[in-house]
Amino acid sequence: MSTPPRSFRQAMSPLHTWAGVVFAALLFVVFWTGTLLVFDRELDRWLQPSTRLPPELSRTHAGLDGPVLDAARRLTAGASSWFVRLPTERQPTVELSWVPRGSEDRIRLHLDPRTGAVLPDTGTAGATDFLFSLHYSLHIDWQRLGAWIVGAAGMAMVLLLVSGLFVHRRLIADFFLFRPRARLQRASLDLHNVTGVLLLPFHLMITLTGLAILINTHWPTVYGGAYAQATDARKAFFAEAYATYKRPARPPPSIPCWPLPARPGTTTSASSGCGTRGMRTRSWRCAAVTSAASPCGRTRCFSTPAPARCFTTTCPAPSCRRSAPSWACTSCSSATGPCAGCTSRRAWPAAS
Amino acid sequence: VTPAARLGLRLLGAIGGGYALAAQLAALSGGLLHAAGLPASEATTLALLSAYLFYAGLLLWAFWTPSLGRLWSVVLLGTVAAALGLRGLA
Repeated sequence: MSTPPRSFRQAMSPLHTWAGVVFAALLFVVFWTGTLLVFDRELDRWLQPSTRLPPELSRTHAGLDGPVLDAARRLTAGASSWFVRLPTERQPTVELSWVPRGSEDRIRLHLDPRTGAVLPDTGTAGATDFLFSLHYSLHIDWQRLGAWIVGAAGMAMVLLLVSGLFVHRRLIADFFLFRPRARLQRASLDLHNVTGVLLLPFHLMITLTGLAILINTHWPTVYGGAYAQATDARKAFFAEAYATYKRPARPPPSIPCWPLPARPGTTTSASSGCGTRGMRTRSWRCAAVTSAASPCGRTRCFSTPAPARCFTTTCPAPSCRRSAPSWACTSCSSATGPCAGCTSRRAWPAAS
Repeated sequence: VTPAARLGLRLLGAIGGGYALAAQLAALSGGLLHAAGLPASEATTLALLSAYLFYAGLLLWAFWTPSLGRLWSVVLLGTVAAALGLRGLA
């Protein structure tokens, strides 16, 4: 059983051919949907006409005040938490989502940021639902099989890129070679070489970063390396890497309060940890949290000015804030009482 | 051994065996990085990311190496050795 010796290039040629033949159609689907998804918000507006509101709303109605908050509370009554995406230029609606009590399925709908009215459901999954699932899982959810198939195609793409370097080894010479008037086969090979060389770094980066999105699907045994002691290594990794990773607490900043214009009867104070859950989507969004612990513990988030900060409205009584000497109440024993109900205070930052 | 069987053995050794060895090497590197002082979550993330590179390199080598015997012995012995190394580390 002797095999004639062959060069690396000779071995790469059938690999380049067959990996391409087998995976080309699938790779086309993935790359094409990925390209379309650069414009996911715009496609959503196109497919969901009722959400085409004026983009200026992202500036004029950027917050959660007024009817939107009331509508969100009414709609999500009973849910343990809800998430909201405030209007942006590309998505000028308030996107509200929550899991109703006793249900598994997340409800998502759009509100008009001016009135809080629920915008009519357009009955389409749109780009963000349909195309994203197609892009990374082919809509095959069973055992995450779709993500595995896409991963196999991604690995094939890596092999195609590397083997292509050796198969089409005269990269520089081939790059300047384009014979469009030659036979179709020759001309298309030239085109293959030119585009392959030109886009090689992009293809490599797009493929590797695409694979990296699915790391937690493709390598279920790797967690046991650094978490050998844990009973459930994957769970331990997720707890540490994504949820409960703790650093030593930083000393409190000298000015704990973002100097928002205080409305009568309220003071604002910054708190950390804003939006640690549900924020891992594609851009920074704010979570609005209502707290039952304090009657006035309404947390609001602002993404502008950067960095995004979180504010809690803590103290309702007008008399809890004093201008001279300037201090503000940070926690109250009663929601409506006077300053006598103030249990802790801090200096109000002086205007400098 | 027929050419079809040889091809099947090569594909199985490259894709299946390469995956097993890459996963074991990544787990071992995660354990080593953690032992070297990197926090466990970051060592694991680095290991997960490098697993694709291990796999790509192994696949290329597996489709290149002329000897099926060498391919399978590297894949099998390497996987066992990496697993033993990880166990010794723990």
